[in-house]
Amino acid sequence: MSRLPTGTFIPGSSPVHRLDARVKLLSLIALLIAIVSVDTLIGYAVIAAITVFVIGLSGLTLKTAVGSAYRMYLFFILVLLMNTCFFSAEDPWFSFWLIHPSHGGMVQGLIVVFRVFMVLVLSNILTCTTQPMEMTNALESLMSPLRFVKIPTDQIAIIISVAIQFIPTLFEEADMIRKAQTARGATFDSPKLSEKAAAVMPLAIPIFLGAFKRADELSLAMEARGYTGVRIHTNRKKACLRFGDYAAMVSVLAVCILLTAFL
Amino acid sequence: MPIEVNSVSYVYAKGTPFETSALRNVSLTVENGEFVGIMGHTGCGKSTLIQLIDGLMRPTEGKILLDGEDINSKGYDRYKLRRKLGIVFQYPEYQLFETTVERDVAFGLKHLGLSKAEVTDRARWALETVGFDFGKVRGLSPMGLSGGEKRRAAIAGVLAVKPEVLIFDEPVAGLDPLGRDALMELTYDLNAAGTTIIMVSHNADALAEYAGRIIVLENGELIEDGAARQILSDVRKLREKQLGISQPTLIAEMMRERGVDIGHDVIRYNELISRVVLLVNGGVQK
Repeated sequence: MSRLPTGTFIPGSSPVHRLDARVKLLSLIALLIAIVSVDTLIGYAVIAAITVFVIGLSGLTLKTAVGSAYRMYLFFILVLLMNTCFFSAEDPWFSFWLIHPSHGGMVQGLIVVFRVFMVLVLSNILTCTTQPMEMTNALESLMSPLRFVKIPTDQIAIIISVAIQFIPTLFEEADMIRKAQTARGATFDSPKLSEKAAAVMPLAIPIFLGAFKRADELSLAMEARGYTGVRIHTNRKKACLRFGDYAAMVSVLAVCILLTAFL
Repeated sequence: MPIEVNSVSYVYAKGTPFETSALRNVSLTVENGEFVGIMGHTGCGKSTLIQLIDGLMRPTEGKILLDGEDINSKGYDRYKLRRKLGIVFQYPEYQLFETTVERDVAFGLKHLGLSKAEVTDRARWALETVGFDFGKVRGLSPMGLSGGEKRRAAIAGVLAVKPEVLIFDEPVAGLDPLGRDALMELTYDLNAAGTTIIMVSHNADALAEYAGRIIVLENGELIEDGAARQILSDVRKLREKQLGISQPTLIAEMMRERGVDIGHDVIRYNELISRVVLLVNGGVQK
């Protein structure tokens, strides 16, 4: 593993890192709504400025914050071209068959690309600055009203957090098995499709077996320590909102409402 | 077929905030037919080193030469590497996946261009070498075997290729005493038959009995490389580095503290016994 997957939590102590995960999650949702509803140039500029400001606050490098979003450039180019060529038949530069490239279409394409890009970057900032555990706690906390309509939010939260916790373990195990099979002569980078397909089995079977075994052991261990599915467990870090959290939430909401209403 | 590790360094997750240096400027040479033990704490770089030697990772700096050829150079034949080097990972039983034991053992033989009869012969030989009755076990599902049997079957899968160098990563972890002795005997026999053995282990007893040479890693650096007897009998240094000490060495030290000196160089059980017998018979002066 030489390149870090996009969105991996990067430890830090910036104001963004320290913010309550619930605030971050809600802020992201508010910003997403703002991004979709804004439709003036000033509005887009404000959103870009906010994003740059958050990146600056978070202490992430621009490269980390943008993550793999830039690698979607082909998708962006495609979206731009499609919009430019097909968006509207009004006032085209020229017309040929179904293709009517126009100024309006190009602008529309740019807007779509801008929105998708901002959504990607902002969500990436969230996952880069929030520990997976905090995120599940935040989800659990935000979902908790659903308990009154008999939705087992505790169990859902446990399922999510167990799944997230075991991703690195499974990743490591898969890496080990891949190496072991490589050492026995398996090839995973063959260009031939038939060999590629044949290479799946030696990987998939041990990984699945290992995952099932691990799940069995984990459920036993959880039961042995008294887990019954009824909420009696506590969080190690009790999340409580501080002044900074309220301030951030209020200012994000205010900006978003202004953006949505006026720009 | 000597293995040369030439000032090799390895850095994990280079260029990210998680960058860690696992090996720093390690150089060593392993000659044909040696039995080399690698000791060191968890995280000292042992596993990284053997995976680099096996060509499963590329060194960040430095070169690894097999028979004088750089195994990471562009034109190097990977299959040649696989034929020459075999590696048994920690808990190899997790790599089993085929429907029958025989097919699993034969998995590594696909690329060797052997005939069907030869493949069966190899599988038979490998399974018998690890102590199975070939006729009984060949048709069984590897998933139905017991833990110890699974491990032996997985090791047979590596042996079947008949590599000239076998690398073991903590092969005895989680085995019962009988299984442990059987596995160590197996490595001894293979070594006696000419196979070079490189073994990573915390188990000082096992290494003392079988290894001719010991390499000690600490924080990614090679800090000791020498004859097993010299390194494993240096109790003071082993304690200082918090490494395992073999039981016979400990017993000899205890006896010395109580005024009975049977020599500073005892590392194996048979040596301990013969020295004590000599002592009882009056052969060693108090």
